[in-house]
Amino acid sequence: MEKKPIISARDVEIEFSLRGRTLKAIRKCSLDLYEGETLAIVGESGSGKSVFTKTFVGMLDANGRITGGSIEFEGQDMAKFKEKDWLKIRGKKISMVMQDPMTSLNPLKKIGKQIQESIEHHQGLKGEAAKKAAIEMLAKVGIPDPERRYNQYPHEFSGGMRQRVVIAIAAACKPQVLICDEPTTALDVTIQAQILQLIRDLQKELGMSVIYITHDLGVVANVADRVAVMYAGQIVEYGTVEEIFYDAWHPYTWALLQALPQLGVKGEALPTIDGTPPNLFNEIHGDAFAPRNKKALAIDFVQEPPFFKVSETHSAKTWYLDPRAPKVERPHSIQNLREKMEAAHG
Amino acid sequence: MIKYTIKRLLQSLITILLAVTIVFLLLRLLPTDYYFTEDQLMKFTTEQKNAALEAAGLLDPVGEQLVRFYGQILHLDFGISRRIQSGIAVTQVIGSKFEVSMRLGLISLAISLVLGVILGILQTVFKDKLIDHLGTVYTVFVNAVPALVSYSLVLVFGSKVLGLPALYSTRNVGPSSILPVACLSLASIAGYALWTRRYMVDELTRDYIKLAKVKGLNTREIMISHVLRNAMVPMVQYIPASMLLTIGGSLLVERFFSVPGMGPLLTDAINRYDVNVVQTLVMFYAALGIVGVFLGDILMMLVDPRITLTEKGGAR
Amino acid sequence: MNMNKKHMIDRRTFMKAAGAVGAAGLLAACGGSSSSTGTAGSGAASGSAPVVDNGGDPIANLVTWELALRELQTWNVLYSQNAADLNVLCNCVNGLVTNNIYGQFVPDVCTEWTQNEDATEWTFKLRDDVTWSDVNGEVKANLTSQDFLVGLEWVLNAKKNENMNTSMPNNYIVGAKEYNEYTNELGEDEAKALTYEDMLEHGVGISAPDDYTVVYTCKVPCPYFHTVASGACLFPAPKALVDELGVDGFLGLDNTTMWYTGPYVVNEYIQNNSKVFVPNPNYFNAANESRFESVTVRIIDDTVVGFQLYDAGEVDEMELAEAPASTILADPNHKYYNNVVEATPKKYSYQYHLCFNRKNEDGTPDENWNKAVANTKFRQCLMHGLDLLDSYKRVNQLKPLDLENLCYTMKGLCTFSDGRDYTDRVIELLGYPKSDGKQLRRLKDITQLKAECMEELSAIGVTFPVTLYSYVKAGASTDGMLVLQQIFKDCLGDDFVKLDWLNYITSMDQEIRIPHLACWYGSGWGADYADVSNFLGQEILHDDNAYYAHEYSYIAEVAEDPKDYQKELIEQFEEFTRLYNEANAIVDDTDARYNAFAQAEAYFLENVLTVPNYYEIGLQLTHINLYSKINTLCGIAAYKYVNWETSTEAYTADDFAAFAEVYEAGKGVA
Repeated sequence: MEKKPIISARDVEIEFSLRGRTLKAIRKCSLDLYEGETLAIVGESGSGKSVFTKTFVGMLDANGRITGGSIEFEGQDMAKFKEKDWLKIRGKKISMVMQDPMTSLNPLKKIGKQIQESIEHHQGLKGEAAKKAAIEMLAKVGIPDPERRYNQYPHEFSGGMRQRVVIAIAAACKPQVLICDEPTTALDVTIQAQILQLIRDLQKELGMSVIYITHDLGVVANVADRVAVMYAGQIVEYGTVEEIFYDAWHPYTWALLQALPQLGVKGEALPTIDGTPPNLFNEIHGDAFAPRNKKALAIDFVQEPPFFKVSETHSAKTWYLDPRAPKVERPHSIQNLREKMEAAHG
Repeated sequence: MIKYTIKRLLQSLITILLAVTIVFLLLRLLPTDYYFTEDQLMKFTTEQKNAALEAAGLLDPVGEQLVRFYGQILHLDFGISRRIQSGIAVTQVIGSKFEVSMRLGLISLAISLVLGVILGILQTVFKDKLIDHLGTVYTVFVNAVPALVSYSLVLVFGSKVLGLPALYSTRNVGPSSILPVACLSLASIAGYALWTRRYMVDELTRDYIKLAKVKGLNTREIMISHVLRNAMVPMVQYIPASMLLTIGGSLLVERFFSVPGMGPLLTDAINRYDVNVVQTLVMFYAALGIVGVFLGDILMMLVDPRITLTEKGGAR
Repeated sequence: MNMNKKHMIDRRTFMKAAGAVGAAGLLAACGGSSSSTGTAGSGAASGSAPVVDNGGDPIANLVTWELALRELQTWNVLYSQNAADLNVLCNCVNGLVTNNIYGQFVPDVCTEWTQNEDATEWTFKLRDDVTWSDVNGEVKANLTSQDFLVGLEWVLNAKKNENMNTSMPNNYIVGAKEYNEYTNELGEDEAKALTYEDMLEHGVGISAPDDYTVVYTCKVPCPYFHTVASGACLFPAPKALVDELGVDGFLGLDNTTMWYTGPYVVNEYIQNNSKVFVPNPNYFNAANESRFESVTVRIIDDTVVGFQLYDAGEVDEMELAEAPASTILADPNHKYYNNVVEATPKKYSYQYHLCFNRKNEDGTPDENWNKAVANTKFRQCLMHGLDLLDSYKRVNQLKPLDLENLCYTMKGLCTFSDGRDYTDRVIELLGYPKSDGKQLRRLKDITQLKAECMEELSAIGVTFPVTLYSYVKAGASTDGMLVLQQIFKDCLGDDFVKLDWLNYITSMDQEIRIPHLACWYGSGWGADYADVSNFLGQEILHDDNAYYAHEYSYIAEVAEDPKDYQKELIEQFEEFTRLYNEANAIVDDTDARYNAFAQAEAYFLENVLTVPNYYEIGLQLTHINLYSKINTLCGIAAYKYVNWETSTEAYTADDFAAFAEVYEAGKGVA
């Protein structure tokens, strides 16, 4: 898909002030989102994935601010948006599905009304027309008996159903971009698959671009077209899903892949990544992942690596790709990932 | 639902009976000297004292008095006041007063609710800005300054500067009610503002508020339709009880402005050992409180769909 | 015999004080004697030209005030014993005898009274034009002598009136006590069914030979019985009303069900808020007494609110508590500076009753105090040494010297036939100098007395300083005590007597007085009837009815078993009692009687058997001429709203001086 990106984030920097100190949460992140694609952003907790995507809907916490970079959308730089500008975007052009369906819905309002609210607000429909649209939306997300369900309250729905409703709310106004922040983490596995399928169906029907935020590579493998890997507030590698899985170059990506449970050998402990993410209050020198990388190069501690292109669609921010770098082997367990994955999934 | 209501009713009756029995017994524990004024204590011979006490039925053994008392209540005979208004039936004494207290109280409640909630909303919307701080200053001031001092200030200001009547007068009900209602409302406004703000700020951090924002609703819509509406749920619980207890009147305000209401009645009756009035009032207030709580539970049930009345009693 | 316990002149008590049964013209002794025949006519000036014209008009619709804690409890005058009730009821119903502004006893519903030779039989002739009206002004019945029979039976019947107001009839009227005891024994229904015929059959000393004559027979000669007849206990009750309402209904009268004989009816009553009096169209003395078009009494919580009311023009008079009075008097430019005048004096004669048998908190006798107080010189030091002016100033900053009380009997209660006040005679006998306008009259140099006293007392084992314990309610202001303590320090010296105080929680009687814990009790006595015996008789020995002797000074206890150091004290009391009994026996010559009493009282006070304290004369702002109000030191008419001189302009101190002059001049004439 060589089109112009819908959202184009360049060198975004985000800072938080916490108790008088400054936390640099996002350190020069760049990202493109193309029309109709599914982009997955993966990383650990605290890598900054949620924070980064929150800026796409202007939902950054009160103590955070964008201190650098730009976020282009429809010809405007959203990094400079005021609240009134966001009111035109949220829910209408860019929507978000949040993590915990149990708490995302207002327990005192009828489900139908919560969907209808969005419809009335953005589409100007009122009363019966809006109600009809809301019921339609409920049906579309696979809620059986939607007329009756319209009048029910969240506590009468199961977790999976609630997430469908949240999705219904997010998709009700046919946004161009749908951001899903770990939408299946709180659900059990069977429901997971259904929800993912639902999002996929909606995406096709409505022509949306979807951003998935997840730490679950299984989900990534399932839904993503492209993947971006985040670590310590930066995107360290991005590419198509196959490139990332089968041809990853950043040591952090390797570590993530190694930790896939599917690769686990019976009887052995699953591999983990030692250490903890760096303290973002401090200045970071060199490659942020270096302290946890057993095979770090000396230069990793000194200078931050730039992006090196692996292919047109795949880049990684690691000195390993520098022509001057010594040859580093990918870890053994992920070398024949393609075969192993096909074998696992049959 | 019917079964539940009946059960509640029975429980309530027992509670009221228990409360009044305890008060009854406590009153009988006091030395009978309290029945007499100082003048009478000096003058009466023992026979005369006994005659007076017997006329009031205070000399019989306590058990007998209690049984007779229950009998009287069953016949809805609440006795005669001896010290507040000698010889007049207690129901009449109370009846003439509660309408006044209730009227003033309800007006004050309405004003306080409206003003208090609005202030609370403003404080939440403009959290940590000037309005929020001003509201907090008001709340602290009202709670820190002793009530009588505030009332005196209101009185002086109202009477001197605004020319309002200083005492409540039945001939001039409207204007002369202004100062008492103002005083009654002072603390309530602060109270409602405080709770509204608290519950609303609690709501602000909730996930579904974030969802509402991400849906694209503007601040006003979020505040009213989601935050306020949800914050009201814990608050409405107390409104029926507050409404009913306005009947009880406010002791300080009514004394201060000479409002002929229920406020000072109970303490006066206790001071003067008018046992019939005390007992009847205790039953009355207990009943009011219970009905108020019950209505509050029902209101909660109506307002919060997650809550149903259960057999265990109460909304949950 | 209404008493008001005044522990000390502390702020709180003062602020609670209200215009109780007051008396005008206390500053001047009231004149007139209780002669053996009264005459018709009210003796008060009818609405002629005002005494002082200060540029205002007479007030047509008077607005006055009362404290919330003095709201009336009952509308049945026979049942009531509170001054608070009587202040209202005196406008509604009438008795045989009332008072005029000079305090003289004048006929009310009677036309004249006569007594027999030995003052045991009293005959009252009634007016024939007095009617009972209901609250709407409709005449319901005529007042006849039968009403007095009904009234007396009601009072004496224990099951009807719960023994209220029985003490005076029981003490004076033949057969009354027996009938009262008889009804005490009876069952409730039986007693309620009794009528005045039953009472007459029991031989109670009252009779109605015709419709307009009532005759009372007294157990013992009672030269002042007509003053007893001014009290609530002998008021009439209309039979028709009692029959109509039944016993319970009559007991539970209110302003709409009662029948009125008086100058006003109360057509609006809102408890704890206000009452409105409007003229009774059928009032029998309307021609001679001017009345207001309406009188509104507003209930207030305390005088702070009251002051606001006065300032806003919503009330026509207001007592000034210490704080507002200070504020006003401190600033000569204050708008009310000239309007601060003396208030209606309270009817009580305040004393510090010494306790002669004090006990410690563990119940053992406080020998130190008991020995000291039994010594005459010690007591004289207290009397003549303590300069109480500072404590008087807390009551009245304008003229504190006027508050000093040098006697036991209330000033103005009794007068000789030449118009001289009884207390003047006592003071003459005691030899006090006239007031020099600067200090209290009682003060003397006590250095020698003190020295001698300390020597005598040390010899019997008294340690100095002696502590004089007073008392204060826990939580109340101790300002008064502190002032007094300083007075003790300055006048007597910390080496001699020190003041200290105990706290009580609710009941002074239960916690302090009955356990004998205080060394002296500040208390005021108000007259029940107009005779010296009502006062002095409370202090004598060998009399069960002597209230103070049994309950305050505890001298009656001491007399049963006096210690050595108390022998002299008992002798003094015996001598006093002897002089008292001599005086009390004189029933045919009032002047001689009073002279003899004066001897007894002078003896009592010379030996300082109590320490006289003060008269309570506060301060007020007012539109009413104080001297035009009825003067009653006993009886109930002090708050009768008739013949009052008022002005829409507030009166000044100068106006009041003019009033006083006119009042004095008028005394001799009346």
